[in-house]
Parts: sequence; structure tokens; C-alpha cells
Amino acid sequence: MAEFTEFFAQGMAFIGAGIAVFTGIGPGLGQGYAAGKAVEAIGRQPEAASSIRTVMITGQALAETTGLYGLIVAIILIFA
Amino acid sequence: MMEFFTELFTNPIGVYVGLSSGMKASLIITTFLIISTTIIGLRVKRMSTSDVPHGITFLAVTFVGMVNDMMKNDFLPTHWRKFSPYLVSILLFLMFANTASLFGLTAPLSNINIALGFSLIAFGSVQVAALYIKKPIQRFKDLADPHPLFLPVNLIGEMSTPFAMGLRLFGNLLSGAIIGLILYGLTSWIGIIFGAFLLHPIFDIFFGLVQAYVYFMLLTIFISMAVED
Repeated sequence: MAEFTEFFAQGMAFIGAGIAVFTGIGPGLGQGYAAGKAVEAIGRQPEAASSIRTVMITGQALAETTGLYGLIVAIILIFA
Repeated sequence: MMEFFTELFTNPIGVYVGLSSGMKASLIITTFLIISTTIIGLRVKRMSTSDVPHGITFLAVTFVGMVNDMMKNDFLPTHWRKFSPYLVSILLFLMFANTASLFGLTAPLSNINIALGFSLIAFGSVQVAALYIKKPIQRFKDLADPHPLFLPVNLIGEMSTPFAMGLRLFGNLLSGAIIGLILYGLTSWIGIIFGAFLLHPIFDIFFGLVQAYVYFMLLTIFISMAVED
């Protein structure tokens, strides 16, 4: 019985890790939206392309944070 | 704690060997940066105003000038002289630390202790800067800004943003390290080609430098929000 609960808990932790990585959906949508808007902005103002690119990459790196939290939670569930 | 320091003074090499690989890489990078920046600084100091810097000195002068201009024009117009040396050294350390896997070291920020250490650095520097430049009474008024009821919310905000900054660095570097481990562990020689052309350029150079820039940018913005009016 003790063995069963141990394995059950481990399997549930792995399922939880799988669910936690679903946070990747949010940053994916956000980064894609930012990139699309940046393409629109470059199309409107091609001379400002370099500064638009810098701002876009900084914003995307910020938007990535929530996805990384999910990744950290998944790694903690698997290894700890 | 005490045993660690007695051990450190009696047997420094043994302490160094016992550290984790990220800590070792952090110490190596810090030593390298201390020595090289001291040499470059002495070289710049010896120059007369009519000399034209070249080589690595030129790079260093351009880099420092770029950060100084950014501080002066955009973020810290009145206090840039106090903060830009500190911010430049943070940016330099992060740039070297995040690309450390190219030199055969473990990326130091993939160790959570170092990442949370960076959170502590950000928290401490923002608080000390705010207390030193705005005196404690004005600082307290800023924290209780719209209404004194908002004080706990503002305090949580002061703590959670540096924590998030450290965790962001940790997550990025750790994901790169794990993908590298998977690739090199599961494939044979073909993994080296993928690693050389996809993995290291993307995860070490691009993401590493972008995250170094983002940490530096966020630290600048939080310091300027706490310090400037």
C-alpha cells in the first residue's frame, strides 16, 4: 500500500508537470502578437526598423516570464 | 557559517573544489573581469586627451560611453553619475556569465542560488539608492503613495519584482542548459552539428545577451522610478 501511494504521488507529480508547461500558451500568443504589431509598425515606418526591433525583443523577453514560471514549476515537480 | 569561514581561510583550494560548477564559473568570471577591467582602466587613465584609443580599449570606452549616454538621456538624468558604474558592471558580468557555456563553463545563472543572489542585489540596490537619495521620510511617503492603505501592496511590489527578475534569468539559463543536456545526451556526433549551429547561437548568445540586457534595463528602470521624481 505504501509503495502504491508513493508511485501514485510520483505519477501525479509528472502529470502536474505536464499541465504546468501549458503556461507556454500565454507567452506564445503574447510574443506572436508583439511580433505581428512590430511587422505592422515596420511596414508603416521602415526607417525606424532597428529601434522597433530592439523594443520588440525586450518586450518579448519580458512576456516570456510567465512561461518560464511554468517551466520552473514543472522542473521542481519532476526533480524535487 | 563560522566553520565555512575557518575552512575558507585554512583550506581555500579545498573549498573551491567543493563548490558546485555554477559557483566555480561565477568565481572564474568575476576574477577575469576584475583583472581585465583593472588593466583596461589603468590603460585609459594613462592616455592623454589627444590620444585615440584602439583595440580593446576602444571597445571598452565605446561601451561605457554608450551606457552613460543612455542613462543621461533617458533614465537617470540627474543621478546618472552615481549609478552608471554599478549598472555597467552588472551588465558586463551578466554578458560574460550568460555566454559562459561557450568557454566550457557552466552558466552561473543556471544555479538558483546565484539567480536569487541577483534578486537580492536588485532589491538591496533599489532600496539603498532610494533611502540614500530620497531621505527615509520622503521614501515612506512614496511607499504610501495614493493612500496609506496601499502600503502593504506597495511593499509586496517592492519585493516581488526583484524576485521575478532573478527567476527570469534562472529560467532562461536553466532551459538552455536542459535542452543542451538532452541534445548532447541523446545524440552522437550529429548532436555536435546541431549544437554548434542551432543550440549555442540561440540559447547562449542570443537569449543570454537579451536576458542580460533585460535585467540591466529593468534594474535601471526600477532604480530610476525609486530615485527620480
